Amino acid sequence: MTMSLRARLAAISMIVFGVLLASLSVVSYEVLARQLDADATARLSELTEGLHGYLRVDGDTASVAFDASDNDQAAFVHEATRYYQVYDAGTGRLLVASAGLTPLARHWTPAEVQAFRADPTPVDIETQYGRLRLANDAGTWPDGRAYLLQVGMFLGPMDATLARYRILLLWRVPIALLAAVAASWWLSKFALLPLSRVAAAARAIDVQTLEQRLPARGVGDELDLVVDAFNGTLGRLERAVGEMRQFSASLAHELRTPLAALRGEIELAHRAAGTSPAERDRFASQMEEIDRLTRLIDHILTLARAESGQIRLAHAPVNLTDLAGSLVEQMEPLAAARSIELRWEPSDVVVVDGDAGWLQRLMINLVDNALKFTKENGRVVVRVFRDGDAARIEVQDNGVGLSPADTLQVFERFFRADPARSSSIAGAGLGLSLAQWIAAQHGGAVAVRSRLGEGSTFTVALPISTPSGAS
Amino acid sequence: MRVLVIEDDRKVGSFIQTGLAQEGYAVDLLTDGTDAGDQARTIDYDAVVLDLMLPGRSGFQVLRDIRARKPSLPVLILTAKDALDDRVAGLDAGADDYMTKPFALAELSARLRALLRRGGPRESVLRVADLEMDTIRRKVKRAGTPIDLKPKEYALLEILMRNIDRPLTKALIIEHVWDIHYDSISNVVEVHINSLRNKVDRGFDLPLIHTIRGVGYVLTESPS
Repeated sequence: MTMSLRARLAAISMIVFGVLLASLSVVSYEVLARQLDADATARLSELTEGLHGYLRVDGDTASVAFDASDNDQAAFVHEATRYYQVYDAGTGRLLVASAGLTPLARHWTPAEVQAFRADPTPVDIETQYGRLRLANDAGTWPDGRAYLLQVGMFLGPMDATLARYRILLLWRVPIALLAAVAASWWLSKFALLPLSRVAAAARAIDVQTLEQRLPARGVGDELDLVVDAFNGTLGRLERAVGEMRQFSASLAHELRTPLAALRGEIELAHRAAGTSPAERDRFASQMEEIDRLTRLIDHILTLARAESGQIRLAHAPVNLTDLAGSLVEQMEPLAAARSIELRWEPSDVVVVDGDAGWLQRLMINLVDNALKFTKENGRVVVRVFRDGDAARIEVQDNGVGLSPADTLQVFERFFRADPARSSSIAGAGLGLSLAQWIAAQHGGAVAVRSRLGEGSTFTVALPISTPSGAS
Repeated sequence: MRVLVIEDDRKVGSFIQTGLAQEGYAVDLLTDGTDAGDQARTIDYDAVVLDLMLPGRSGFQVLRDIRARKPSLPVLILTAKDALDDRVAGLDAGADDYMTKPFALAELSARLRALLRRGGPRESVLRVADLEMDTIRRKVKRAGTPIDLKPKEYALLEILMRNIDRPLTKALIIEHVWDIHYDSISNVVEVHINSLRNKVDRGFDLPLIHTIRGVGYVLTESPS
């Protein structure tokens, strides 16, 4: 998941709020609609039932009679008779209808009248003026004839209210949602601020500052739990690294002292008066092996110290171009001895911030490596140039090269491309991993491009310290 | 020349003693640092070889004891601690030189010689057989014929000529001739020795530069 925690919180709150608001809106709309509908139906049945008492029949016509001086009666009848009609239940004939119904042309055939009688539930009819609800109620005249009273009510105002409410909801939901997301985005910033602080504090701790701890805020919340756990991990890490440092220091001592004794005794035997030339040769060979072992121990210890943070690099401006130039000059005889052309192609004056001694070692390791794996009459080219914000040191050879699989492992400790072939070549496969460490300590990296049989190009990229480095 | 060796490892101590004795030094060996200060005061030593990790009293304390009594007595630290910090600490504490184990006896004696010679007059013209080096004009001649040397070749020849008849290890040569850490390139010295031989010895009946396998190189008229 590439989303930030903050974005995820906002997204979750958006979904939760969205679902909540939408369902609330739907429910409230439904409740309101049902309520309004039920109110309308109840009012209509009130009107219908009340109107029976004011109906009079005279042969084939019916009429409404009421006391006009009674305001209550007048108001009721006025409302009930806005849309009404009365049918004779037997013949289905229309006995009376209010003028309001006429333009709607809602008069029924005898069959339809019978149907309304059989099922008197109110019906809603769509008209050009809106929804009209008709309530049916059967009654009996004093002369014993049955009739059907139908009272209507327009639901237009109710529908308009609901429509407005719908629009209101449709607007309200997205706006509320936006507000909720904005609020949670804003709030989460404050909620996550301590987390960012903890992250920044944790980032500042590296292998050389393992004794540091993250500040606990003492409020006992979840974040403090994380801080505690992290500090616990730091403690274990500090102990492990401390043991490693102790180990490399004792290893140095425990290995070097017996080696010194061994070498010294061999050297004494080597120089003793009675030693024959053959013995002398054998002793010399033993001393060479001890020296090789010593170099190997040196390399391993250097890497171990480097990785456990026991080596601190200087920070000073280093002119890479001068450094590489003098290095190439000094290594030229090495190349010449193997008939390899060591070419120096500087193009910019590049200055980086770093440790000249270690940078020199980095370049020696790369050039040395290139010389080792280049055949006679081959060529090694060293370039130093500026590439945007990076200083680049390039060591290119046309030697044996590496297979794609080996290219991936070339910086690993004790790596050798072909153990059978390279056993004759000095070195334990630690030079490149040290080179990579040195580059990393300077905020850079070593990369390799290679093709088996065609040669390799190792490129060191380091951040440039002074912007005015180009010549 | 009398040298005090303070080394807790008996085997290491005894071969140093034997090796230096063979070169004509009188060697006293102490296996801990407790009496070192007193012994350095009562006996007039020319140099001290001091291990840093000693039982009882640390090498640094011993160094302070010695310095308190004999401020100018040359002290060479010999230790298994090879970290740069240790080296700096040792030299800061007043040591004159620093060597890590394992080491070559030849190198130890060369370093001791350098310490003992320190302050002595440095000749400006060095001569070995018909080879002549003028260190002021930086000119080299053999049998009267000028030899043109590159700077590194010159420096290499100078250190060989200043240590005539004494074998020098590669490590010592690298430390004095090259300003960089060449540990991974063991043949840088060989290559320069070869080119130096081509210029100095080729065409002459008496070769001066000799290889002692397992030890290093020596410039001498009379190889053993």
